[in-house]
Amino acid sequence: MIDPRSTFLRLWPRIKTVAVVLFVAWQLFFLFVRNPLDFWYTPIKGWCEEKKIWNEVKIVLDPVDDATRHYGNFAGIDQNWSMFVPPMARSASFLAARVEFTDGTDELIRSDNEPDPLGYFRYGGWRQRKLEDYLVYKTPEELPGNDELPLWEAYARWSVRRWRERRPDDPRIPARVLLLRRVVSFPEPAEDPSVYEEAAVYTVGVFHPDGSFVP
Amino acid sequence: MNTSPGAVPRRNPWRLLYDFWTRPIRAEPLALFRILIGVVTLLSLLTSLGPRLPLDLGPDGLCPGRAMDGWQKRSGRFCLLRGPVNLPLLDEFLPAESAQEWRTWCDAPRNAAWLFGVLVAAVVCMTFGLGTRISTVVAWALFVSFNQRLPWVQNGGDSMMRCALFYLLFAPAGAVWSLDSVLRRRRDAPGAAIPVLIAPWPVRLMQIQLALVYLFTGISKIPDGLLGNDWVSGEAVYWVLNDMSLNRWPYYWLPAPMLVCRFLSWGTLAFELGFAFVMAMPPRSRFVSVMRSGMLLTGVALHLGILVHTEVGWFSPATLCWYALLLSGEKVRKCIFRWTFSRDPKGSAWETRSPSGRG
Repeated sequence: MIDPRSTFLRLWPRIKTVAVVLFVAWQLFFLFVRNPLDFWYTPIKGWCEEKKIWNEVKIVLDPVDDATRHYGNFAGIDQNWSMFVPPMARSASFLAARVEFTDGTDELIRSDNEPDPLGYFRYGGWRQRKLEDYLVYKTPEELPGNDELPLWEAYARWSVRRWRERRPDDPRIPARVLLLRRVVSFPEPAEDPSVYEEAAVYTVGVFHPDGSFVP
Repeated sequence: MNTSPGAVPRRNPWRLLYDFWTRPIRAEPLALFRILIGVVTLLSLLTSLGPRLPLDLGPDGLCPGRAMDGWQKRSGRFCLLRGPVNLPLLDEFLPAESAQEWRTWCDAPRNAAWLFGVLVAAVVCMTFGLGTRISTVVAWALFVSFNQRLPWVQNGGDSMMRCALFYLLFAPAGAVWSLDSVLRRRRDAPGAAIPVLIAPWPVRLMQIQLALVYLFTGISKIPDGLLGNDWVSGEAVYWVLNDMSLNRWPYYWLPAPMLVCRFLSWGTLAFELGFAFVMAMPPRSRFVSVMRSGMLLTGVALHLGILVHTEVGWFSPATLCWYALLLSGEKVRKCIFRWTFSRDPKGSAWETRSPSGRG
């Protein structure tokens, strides 16, 4: 009589080998398909549409795109590698909050990441910079209906809390909070590197002191 | 025929490929990688993510959970701090009330802090090689969860750490230089000093991953071809050095001449585009070996430059950890244990044979 346990033990090395081969093949497929698709999906689609073959190509390409993207996202190995993609920034944008009070006065709360352009030494704070970078490029028209709106609302509330912590005895009552984008341009290569223009200011969004968005 | 000193005889390319994926390799580079990435991940968690958890999480945190729910669901990501969303089986079969309870439990800052503590403990265990496989699984699941919960405060360094933890799930990372290996040796063969060889495929996948990281980072710098682009014109590094949102100090404190900026811009582009190709060359000749070493040293210089000049967190240290995987086992062992190794009369035996004689 055949012992199923001994059969399994005999087959185990082969099962393991097959599993490893399948995994390596899939992982290589993922790496060599996902990376190009992250960069060239749109150009590929445009080229195929121009050649009028997109309907045939997308039958293959879209499932591959979906499968590799979901696998990468689930495993935490999403690719899309890039750093300092051109055109390089000619300016830096910093998020700030202007708290307006019921008595008509206001106060600007600048980000800790916005330095004096002529003298600073930066250490730490990069996670806060990443968050503020994410928030700073939106306009008031883009916020309604955005499912990430709670992020901007939370930042507005935090700005009011920060103001209150800095001025616990201030009797003024906040009426609304404006999140602002302050843009500092860099000198051109031929210009004096120590001369900066005043920051240009744009509105990102307007909020009540409790954080709710003012359309 | 290649006659240069140290040349390896030419072989069938299919044989080379087969050996590349199957011939056992020394376990030391992988162990070094495990230790380095563990230390960097730990430092990143303790110095940058941990301290801001009270600010980000919780009912009035800067990163409300509901802001990421739609994105998480759509993109197929899982986050243990947001319930069973996208987790196979659990997402479909766990009752809605239980899923809500799970989410409510994780929403409490104290519970999130507790999970963060488990993550830190898992990374410590992985680094020391204690229960290496299980601790890596826990570290990966929780590290990914915290990254997905707070996607707005992550950067490329976190991506490199996530990838590293993922590949370590499949690698025999605790084969040497781990508490697991010490315990195993005591139990199985006390006093034995044999070289430990491992299956190469997890290391090969990681090497390919690193090469693709550089290649596509390089490609992303020339999106519209080689013309009219800051990297090709050589001005890119000038603008990076001026970026006051990243740099540690103002450009005018130490203004680099445009010639230097051009050299650095072109050098960076050449390095990123060339890394994968140089590393893919079989080290048949001394010339290729020198090129590979030169490439690695250039990479070290590039990342040290980024580390010194810009505040991009743990990106450079996390990426440099991966270089351990490109070193030979003998070199790693000699570098780490130079003094010990020189006293080992059987040192040469470490070079050639595996325990099973397959080396």
